[in-house]
Amino acid sequence: MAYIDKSYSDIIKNNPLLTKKQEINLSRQAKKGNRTARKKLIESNYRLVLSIAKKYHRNDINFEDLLQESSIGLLKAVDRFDPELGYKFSTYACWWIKQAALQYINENSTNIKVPTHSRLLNSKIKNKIKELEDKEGKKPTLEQVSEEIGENVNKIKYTLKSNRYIASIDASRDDEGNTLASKIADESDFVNPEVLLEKKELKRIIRESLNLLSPKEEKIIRLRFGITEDEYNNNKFTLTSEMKEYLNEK
Amino acid sequence: MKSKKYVTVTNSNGLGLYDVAKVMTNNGHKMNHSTVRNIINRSFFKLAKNISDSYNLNYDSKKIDSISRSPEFQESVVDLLREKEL
Repeated sequence: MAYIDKSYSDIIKNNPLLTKKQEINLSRQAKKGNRTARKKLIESNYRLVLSIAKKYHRNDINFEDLLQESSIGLLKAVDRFDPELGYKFSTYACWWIKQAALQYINENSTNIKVPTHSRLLNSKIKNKIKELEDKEGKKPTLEQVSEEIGENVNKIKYTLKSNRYIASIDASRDDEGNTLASKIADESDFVNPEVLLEKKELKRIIRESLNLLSPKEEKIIRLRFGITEDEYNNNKFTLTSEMKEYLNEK
Repeated sequence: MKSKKYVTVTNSNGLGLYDVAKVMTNNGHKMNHSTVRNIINRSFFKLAKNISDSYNLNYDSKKIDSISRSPEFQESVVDLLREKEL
């Protein structure tokens, strides 16, 4: 219990399990509007919330948040429990707590929100695929899965597609901290030979075109775009010493 | 993307139209900034026309004029001129 909030563990310690009779009494009082009875019923069942939250806890889910969300399920159960039916409170409450926990997990485990029913169908499909694979020794076809589950093939396809695992390209993937992005080859330097040839041809044409320009025009373009002699070794584009001085002053 | 409003755009390495005019005037070619702009436009028009002819594109002068004034064309030509390995 070291990883849960101290106040939470204190509440659990200070509120031992209730007997069935106590539960019924507190619930009846709570129904009549007794806030103390309601509080006592809630606090005495935090243990159940903790137990269920632990079961559903995964690495990508914050446990504290999961615990809080599961507690909302407990509150719902307290408000809706009917003591006259004769069942134990925990029997009724556990379904509300599980529902709240699952809802939270479904909404927060991935960046893309997928409806809970779709998540549940996805898990049903995955389980069925595993079961059929174990049984037959090969991966079942979608038609087989569809027949077994009773859903149409398109719905199964769509569900599997929408519930795919999302990996971040920048997330750390191994112990050395290498990311997926770092493993993808950098092809920024790669040049298609055809494109390179076209570019060379274009350069040749432009070079030839430069002969069409008068020396005055060449000088002006050179000054305007800051093309210096060092950058482009073309004798037709020489800078006079005055121009160089002027450029240096700038 | 630089503004398309101006017919000649340049990066920080180059001189402004007024400065180019001043340098050219100091070197014996008396001119003002408008003349510099017109000469630049005319030069790029010549380049664009020659490229168009070389590729048998047969563009009319209006189209060539529009290409030659576009900052994309001017930047591309200048980028090619900057590259050492021509």
